[in-house]
Amino acid sequence: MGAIVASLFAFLFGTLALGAWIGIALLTTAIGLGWFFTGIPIDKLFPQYIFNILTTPDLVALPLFILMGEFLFRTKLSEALFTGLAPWAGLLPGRLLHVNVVGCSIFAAISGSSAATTQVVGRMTLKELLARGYSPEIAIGSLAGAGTLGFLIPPSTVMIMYGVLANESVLRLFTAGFIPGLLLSAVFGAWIMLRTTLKPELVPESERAMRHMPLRDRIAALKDLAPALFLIVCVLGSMYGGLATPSEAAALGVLGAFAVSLSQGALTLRGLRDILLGAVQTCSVMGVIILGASVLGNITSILGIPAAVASTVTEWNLSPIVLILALIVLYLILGTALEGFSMIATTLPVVLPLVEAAGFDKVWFGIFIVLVVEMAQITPPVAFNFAIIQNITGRSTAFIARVTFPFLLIMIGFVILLALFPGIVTFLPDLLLG
Amino acid sequence: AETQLRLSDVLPDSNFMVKNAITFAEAVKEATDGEVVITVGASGSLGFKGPDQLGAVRDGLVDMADINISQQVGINPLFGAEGVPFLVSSMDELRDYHAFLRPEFEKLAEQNNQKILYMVPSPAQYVYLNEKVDDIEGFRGIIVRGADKNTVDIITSIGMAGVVVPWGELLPALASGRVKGVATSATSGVDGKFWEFLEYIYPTNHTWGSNAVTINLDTWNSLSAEDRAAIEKVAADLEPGFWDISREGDLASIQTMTENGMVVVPLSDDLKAEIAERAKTVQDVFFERVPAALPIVEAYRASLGKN
Amino acid sequence: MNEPSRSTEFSEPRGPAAALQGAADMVSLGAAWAAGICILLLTLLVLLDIFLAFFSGFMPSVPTSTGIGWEYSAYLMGSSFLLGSGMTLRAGLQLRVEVLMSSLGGRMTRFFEGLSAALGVAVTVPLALWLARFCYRTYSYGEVSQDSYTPLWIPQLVLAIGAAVLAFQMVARLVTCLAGHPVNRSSLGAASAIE
Ligand code: NA
Ligand code: NA
Repeated sequence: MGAIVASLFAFLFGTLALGAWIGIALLTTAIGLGWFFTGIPIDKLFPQYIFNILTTPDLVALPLFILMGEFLFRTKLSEALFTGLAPWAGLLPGRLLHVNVVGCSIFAAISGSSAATTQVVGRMTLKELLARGYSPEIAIGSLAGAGTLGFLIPPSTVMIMYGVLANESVLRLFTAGFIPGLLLSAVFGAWIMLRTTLKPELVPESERAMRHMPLRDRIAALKDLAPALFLIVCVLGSMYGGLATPSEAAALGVLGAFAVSLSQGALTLRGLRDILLGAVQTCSVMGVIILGASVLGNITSILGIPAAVASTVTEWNLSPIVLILALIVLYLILGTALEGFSMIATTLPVVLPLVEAAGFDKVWFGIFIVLVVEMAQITPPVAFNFAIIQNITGRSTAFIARVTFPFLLIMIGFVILLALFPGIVTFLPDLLLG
Repeated sequence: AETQLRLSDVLPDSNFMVKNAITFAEAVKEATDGEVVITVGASGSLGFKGPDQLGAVRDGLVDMADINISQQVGINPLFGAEGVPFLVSSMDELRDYHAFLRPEFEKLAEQNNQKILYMVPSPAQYVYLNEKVDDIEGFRGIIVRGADKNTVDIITSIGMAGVVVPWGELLPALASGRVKGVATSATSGVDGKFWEFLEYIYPTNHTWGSNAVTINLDTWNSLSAEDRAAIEKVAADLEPGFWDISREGDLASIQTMTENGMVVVPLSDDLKAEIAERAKTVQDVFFERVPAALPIVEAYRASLGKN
Repeated sequence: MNEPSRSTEFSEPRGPAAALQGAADMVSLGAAWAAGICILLLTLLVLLDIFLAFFSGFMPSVPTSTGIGWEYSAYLMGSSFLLGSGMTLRAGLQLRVEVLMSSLGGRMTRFFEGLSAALGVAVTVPLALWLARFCYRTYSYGEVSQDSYTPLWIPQLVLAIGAAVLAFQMVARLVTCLAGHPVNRSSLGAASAIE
């Protein structure tokens, strides 16, 4: 087993380092493992896997949110969001950087996915922040960090998947996500204030005067948030109003975004062409990586690798808090190479009994899993949120990883906090659902 | 030498079918003196989905699988023969029906390069709603989720609006009211904590379905005659107990749901008859599409007459 | 690690390598448009199901759903993912870690570009063939889907075509690289970029 795991990592990271595309490297590794170690006819196995993964209904919200993002990118929503939130965000140290965090928190309550949140909010905010002269370091870092709120603040595709696999109420998981989500968002905000106070040059000179605006103007600015609120009604309203399931709500989001861009006269034939082909390209980037990561996840399951790793951990006979720390390390390592869904599907069968035995609540562990999946979104080489930010900004993975690192540390600290005070997670569902 | 076999299951670890498979694997290991070791991959972690499990065993992509038989109708429509609405009304009747059906399933399995080791039925089926329904008109238009086309067709024929919704979308859809009812087993009802969304349980028994644990024939034939006999004996010995687990799971799940405030609403004989009458169209359509099922069903009905 | 090479301008090389690349680009662009249509249809299908469910509440004559929404939207999703991948590759947008490649520069960069294309060919060509054979096997078994009885070879064929387009683009990329022509055609990129 050790030899297999070693060759897996050597091959995967070797091909990645040589410049292979991420999807191709994952597929090559999977084919190699399947070929040498399983004895299964891989010429029949892989097409079945590809068909299964690419036709998973749970993923349908992804292209819809990507399409919505492409529409929103061509509306004046980003400017409107800024003129609406800026007078208020401008009151805090760090100024408009808080629009990243607040924007992600709001959009996370619309979208079930972290990637979609990063995508849509990044499209709206990064352009403005960079144009206004904010340091790319903090602008990109805060987006990559706050974008992960997409899974933690409900609705959440990860929670749905965990609920099904762990036999836990999805409603309870959703409810449990609110307080940690808002809390983490507040911690990100606090970090931005601290960081920009210690290093003022991260915020451009011209932005520092904004706090002297009359209150009447600040209130008047709120009307610019109308399109964003309309979209929240399209997605959240349709979902909680019983009109649509979470995936269906994503389609109403596309319709809403279409309506907004139409009403702003922002749609041209050329624009529509770019929206469609842009959505195709982003979908394809995501799709090929999901494909490679899921196939590799399946093959490692067949070889029993996650089970072996987890049973090794069990043998160490750790105390609950040390177990959680060990699991954080385990998931951080797995999360560099695996995509969140495969990570859950492959490890949960072994890890969940282990965690329950240590006395942790299943709802609590669901939130833990959501957080480690979110960390996997921002740890290279396989890092979806980086993929999106790279797509938006053209910045290198190394740069994005460096500026996101403080936010990764904050999240690790946050998980440890949740382990010490599990009530943060279980309080709201216990209160509302008994 | 030790033979390692993988068994694919798409159900979660907590499901009794998976627990049965693990019990079976342990018994096989003991009976073969550790020569045959079966590893159960639950929750679809081996990468297969319900409808492609039969094909996966056939093509040797996995050695064994716990297959939901009615999900295999895409490969041969006869696999849907347990789903004939209101043909069977209890697990004992299902056992009698299997006396005629199982040989046919065994033939189909062999055509697909595999052997059935044991079969276990899913527990009885119910419809869960928020409304108290007294007569057939009460069902009209309620949006109810069914797991497959057959279930959707049956509940639609009764007058409800059957829809297919993936399990992952079902719970949020129930929470929001996008879907107003579900047709499924009591064990699934507990899995989904239905009491958070729904109130009334209608014991409709509209359809039945079983899982079969199968093994690839090439794999099977590569085992020693001794091991094969041992495995067959283990399967035959354990199967009745697995049926009991399914029956008890049904009772326990209903109890869990009522303890959580749900109410079982028995159907009046009139209502039952009316429902069965309406579902007859689904039966007719089924036999028209799958004529091979008719002689099996007729043989079973004839045997009922004799008792 | 470095950004996709957006700076590489597309000029018009000539010769058999350029002709092959031109053919691959034409096929890839056509497939990308097909992928776009898949995404549009997917959106419309999901919206149709929402509206049917909504209006059937008032008008009993309206069916509550299309009955195929989940199944077909998943087929359309998978199709769009693969059909667009050839064009996305050519636009230089498929993700990779370019730390070693770009730090070496010049001839070595091209060497690694070729190595990566060769690995791409070694993976995508067999995958396309396997998918085609998978599709043919499903066709010969006559397998249909569980819910709508749709012949499964149809969505599988679309996936096989998408994989074949990617494989073709990958082969063309390898040849283009060996011929010394620019491998990325950034003018094809439509995914919205900020810088
Ligand atoms: Na969310
Ligand atoms: Na990662």
